[in-house]
Amino acid sequence: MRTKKLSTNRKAFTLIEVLVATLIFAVLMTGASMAFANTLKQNARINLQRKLQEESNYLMEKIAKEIRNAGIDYASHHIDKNVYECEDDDSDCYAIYTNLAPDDSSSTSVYLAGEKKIYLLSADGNTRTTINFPYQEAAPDTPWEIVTMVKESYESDNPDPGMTNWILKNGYSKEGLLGEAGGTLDISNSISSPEIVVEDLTFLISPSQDPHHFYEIEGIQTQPTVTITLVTHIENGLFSSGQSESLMLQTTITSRYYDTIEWEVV
Amino acid sequence: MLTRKLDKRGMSLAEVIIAILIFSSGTVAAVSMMIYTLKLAKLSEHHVVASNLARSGLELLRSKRDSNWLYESGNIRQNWNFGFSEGMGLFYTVDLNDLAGEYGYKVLITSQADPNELDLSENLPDDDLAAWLDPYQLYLTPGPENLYTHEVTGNIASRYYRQIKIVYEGDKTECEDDEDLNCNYFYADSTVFWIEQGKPRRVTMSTKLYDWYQRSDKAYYEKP
Repeated sequence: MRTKKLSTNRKAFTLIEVLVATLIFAVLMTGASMAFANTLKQNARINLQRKLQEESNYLMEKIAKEIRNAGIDYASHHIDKNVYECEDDDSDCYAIYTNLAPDDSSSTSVYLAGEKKIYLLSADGNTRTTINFPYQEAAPDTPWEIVTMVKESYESDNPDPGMTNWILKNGYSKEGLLGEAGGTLDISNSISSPEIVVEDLTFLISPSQDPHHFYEIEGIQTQPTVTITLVTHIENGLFSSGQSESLMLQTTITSRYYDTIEWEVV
Repeated sequence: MLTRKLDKRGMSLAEVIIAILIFSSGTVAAVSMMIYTLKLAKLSEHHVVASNLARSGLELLRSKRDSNWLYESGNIRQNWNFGFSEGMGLFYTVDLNDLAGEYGYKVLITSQADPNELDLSENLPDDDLAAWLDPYQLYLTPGPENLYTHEVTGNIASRYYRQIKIVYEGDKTECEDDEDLNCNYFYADSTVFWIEQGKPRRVTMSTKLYDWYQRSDKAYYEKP
């Protein structure tokens, strides 16, 4: 009686059944959890990409807007390359404009290859904007992550005697120490988001000379155009340590600044 | 006895098939959604790059028009639309080209194929697409500058194609005079095109360029 009852009651699982079921469950769960983890990771990656695109595009637009609404400050570009003349006693240094292209001794610096900074002048000639990617040639591997923008206003009534006489592109002479406190420092800030790393920012300025001043040279009669190349990357979001995304954007902006060409009337 | 036997009959083949079908369709949907989001992320990156390239195209056209205003050789000036032949929908490529040597890059405009043959902003011909696309392809220069250009030699092919379409409108006979702004303009479309996952993708930007400065008719200055 007792044995019969035991043998006929087969409602429980056998060991084999339990093992097989556990195995199948484990396999399925492993797959599912891997898929889930992967989804989380990809989602984080997409978020990284989206943030990178947004921030890079914003930076690009900001730079483009500045270039579009200003003239290229060719004088500052040449001063930056030490193309300026000094008096005999070295007391005063002047940035010189002539109607001639610079001579051969300086012609190596005439051709403006990609630069890491750009100088812009407002239409009234009083405000200089510098957009700078502080890239160091000596240590190119050092990551410089930010792009800065400085706006300087040059007021004529600046009495400081140590000033360099800075001749603006429209021929007017203004006093102000280059890139320093000589002008009134209006804004100096980082315009790139701290969430992204700017790997490279290059301005290719064409033509290399101010077309409104070196007007006689045929090759130069081109409205100033700047090609901006921006390389950015981003890394380490939530759920995504070790992940990184990078992006290269390139666009060209033509200056909307139409200078009247100021030749002396004969 | 009979009921117990019925209980142990198991599932029918149809039931099993349906169960598997439901389960697998759910799984396939989940997996394909994951893959699709990945593709979308890549696509949006290419969109950002392409829209910047499309803007480049328009800006280079603007630069060319402005340079036409600037140009002077002897006492000869250029028409504002020098380089853009008048017509209903002509195709061009526009490029920054190192023709000017030490003075920097010059904008180079090249007219392209017959207007009826390929409009990247519209539907594409099925046959021989590669040959049609060829003149519009953008290449990357290998140097540190990494410029996008149509110049092939020594450069690396990129995935993007850029086409400029120029359309003149307006009836010239209704112009008041040569300086009538309503007559001196054209529409420009800059289309950047690329193929992704076997499908054509494109970004088109448009603008209207006027001869508002009208340098060609005026003497603003005299040479020393």
